[in-house]
Amino acid sequence: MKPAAAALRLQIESALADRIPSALTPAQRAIRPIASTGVAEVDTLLAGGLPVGTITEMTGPESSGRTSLAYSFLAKTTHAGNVAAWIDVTDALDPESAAAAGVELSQLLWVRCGTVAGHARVHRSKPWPRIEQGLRVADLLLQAGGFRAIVLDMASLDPEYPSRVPLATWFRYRAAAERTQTCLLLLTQHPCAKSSADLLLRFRSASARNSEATVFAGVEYALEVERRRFTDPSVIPMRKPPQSAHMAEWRSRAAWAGPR
Amino acid sequence: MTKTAEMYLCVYVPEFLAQALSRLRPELDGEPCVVMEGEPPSEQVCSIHRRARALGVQHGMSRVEVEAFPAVTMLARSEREEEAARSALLDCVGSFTPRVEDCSEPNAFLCVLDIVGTEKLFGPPATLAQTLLNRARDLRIHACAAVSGNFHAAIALAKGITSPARVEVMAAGDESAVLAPLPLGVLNLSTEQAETFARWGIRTLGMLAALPEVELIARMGQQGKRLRQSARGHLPHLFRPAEAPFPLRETMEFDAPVESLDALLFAVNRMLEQLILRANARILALVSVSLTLRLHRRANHVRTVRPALPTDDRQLWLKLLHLDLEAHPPQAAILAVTLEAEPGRTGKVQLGLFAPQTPEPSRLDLTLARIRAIVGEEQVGRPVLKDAQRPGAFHVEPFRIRPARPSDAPHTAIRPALRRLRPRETISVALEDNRPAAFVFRERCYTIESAYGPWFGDGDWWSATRWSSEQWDLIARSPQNSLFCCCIEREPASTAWTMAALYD
Repeated sequence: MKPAAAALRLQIESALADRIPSALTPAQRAIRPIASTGVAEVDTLLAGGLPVGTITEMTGPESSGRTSLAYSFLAKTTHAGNVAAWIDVTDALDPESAAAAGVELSQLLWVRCGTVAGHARVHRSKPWPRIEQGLRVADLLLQAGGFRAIVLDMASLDPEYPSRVPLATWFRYRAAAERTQTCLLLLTQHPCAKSSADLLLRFRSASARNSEATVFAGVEYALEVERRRFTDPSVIPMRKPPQSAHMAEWRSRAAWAGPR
Repeated sequence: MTKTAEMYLCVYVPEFLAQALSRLRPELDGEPCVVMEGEPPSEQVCSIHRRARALGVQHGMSRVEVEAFPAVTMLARSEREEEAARSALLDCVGSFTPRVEDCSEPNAFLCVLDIVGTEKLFGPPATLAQTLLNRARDLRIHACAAVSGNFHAAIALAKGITSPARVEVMAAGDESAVLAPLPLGVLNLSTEQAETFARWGIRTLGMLAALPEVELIARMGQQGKRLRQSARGHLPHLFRPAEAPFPLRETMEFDAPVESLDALLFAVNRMLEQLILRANARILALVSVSLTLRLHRRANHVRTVRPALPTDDRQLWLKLLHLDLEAHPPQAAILAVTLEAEPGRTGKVQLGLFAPQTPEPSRLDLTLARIRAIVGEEQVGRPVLKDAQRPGAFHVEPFRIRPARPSDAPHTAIRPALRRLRPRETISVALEDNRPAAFVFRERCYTIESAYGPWFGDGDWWSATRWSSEQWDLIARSPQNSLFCCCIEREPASTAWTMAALYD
């Protein structure tokens, strides 16, 4: 039976070859590795986690949860024995907070931008030297390879500055990230990598948890998948499939609020 | 695989300090002389020539006491001449075998040679020992030698020889019998042990060897057991041959002062090539390279480069030096350059089949050097928290790849992340009932929904770095109605508020 079916398929495919190449042979599917973010709700939304070897852009206003999700992802990454880098364009990383989130600091390379030759600090109102340093450092780290995750933190910069970075830069980063299998995370307030980012997560304005009357207890976050380059079209269904969720909500809890 | 029988030759030069001084003074041949040590006038005898000892001079005598012997010549101790004599002797013994362990004592030169396998070259051990003593005599040093299959037995036997230039050979199995008549003094006893044995009436190694082992250990501990084994010639020893120093140093003086970095690196490239060639000849690589620049009318400019792993990649060394010199350029023209390298074993990294991918160490060194050139020396590394209560207490250490075993991330709840503002920005805060009600930050007015605080902190009050703060956690709304969580601070007695961090 089987040889007959194979022969029949070959006959049909050869007859349709000039119009539909490989008509009855399913297209080969590339298995794209993913890395868990450490937040169950976000992993469910993203079908496992962030894609490896791509650029993931996390955009949103201040206090929307970009940094805490990045910390959670780095905690997972560094505890797996991998090495990660944090390119801190605005010098905002708080090591105590990162350690409290579970990041293994000995596996984290921290590059603080903002000091030019002569040890003069760059003023906040003129962030171009900082951005230029951050981009050059990201280029070097991506080319060096071996880093499982690189976070380019521009979360505190006004959107007008990262948006002016040439698209060719992001395109180059995307190629380098794919070659070295690095997760490049961009923390920004507004999307800037455009089509070079394989995954664009837009963080919504959070709401505060008011479960505690005396201490700051935490924040309830929400994010939306605004764009994803690769989905999972393993089988093309005849019917329109049920639409998957695009939103995830989770909450953080401050260490001093205690367990509940 | 059969175990090769051990064979050791011990060379012992008694009263080495005196012999080292008289070595270069032929006029003192046959003269009784002593070596004095210490600040005048409280000098003391530290070494005695054989003829002076025959006259009755003893160790520790003062200058006045020695002057009572009119024929005795007093010499001042010279560490430089001792070192020269020691080097000459080590060179001499090194021509017989490279495996030499130096066990010198304060007033004696003592070294042990591993002579296994030298029979075909130099004849039987007795002949080898006699040849060696003859060579030493050519250096005007009188030594004695002992051969044994046990390291410590050879030393004890050599120290027990009384007549100079004599060779004793101890056959295998005869250790106890040969050592038995020797005095206890050949065993390096401590004062307490010597007193104990004197009290027990033990004077020779044979008497010590005859003591029952268990009772001896009960009274003197494991040290007693070791002494008994030494007396019987059975104490084992791990031979540690001395390695000659291997200096890797190259110096070049320029005909004219050099100001260009490229010209300097051209010369450094050649010198590095030589250093790596010499290191490779011993199957070694370079661990670190120190570059010393002699500058025109300035102090020397010294830079040291140390990558994560020893390497003999000349291009890598050159690039690392180049980046380092670009970051720390010399402040004047260069007259001479010296390269000193520390040799070490070539780095070997065993990668596991399932080990996570990490950056290649040598490439990472280069990358980090380039990043340092961009952002500054102290801005790159891994953060290390300090054991302190002060907020933001950390320092940055150089980043090194450490082999880490994969582990599951600790199950911690998702924490709100803090984003620090460095430096802090001043904000204006409106208070109601002594609680913040609104604030202006970066020219935007925020309405506070909830304010948690005040949290007072204080520390380091015992030092000049005293700090104190009043802290508030705020949940506010921006003019665009988005949530804004932050932490503001002020000095307790001050009215100036600063934005310390944002929750994100």
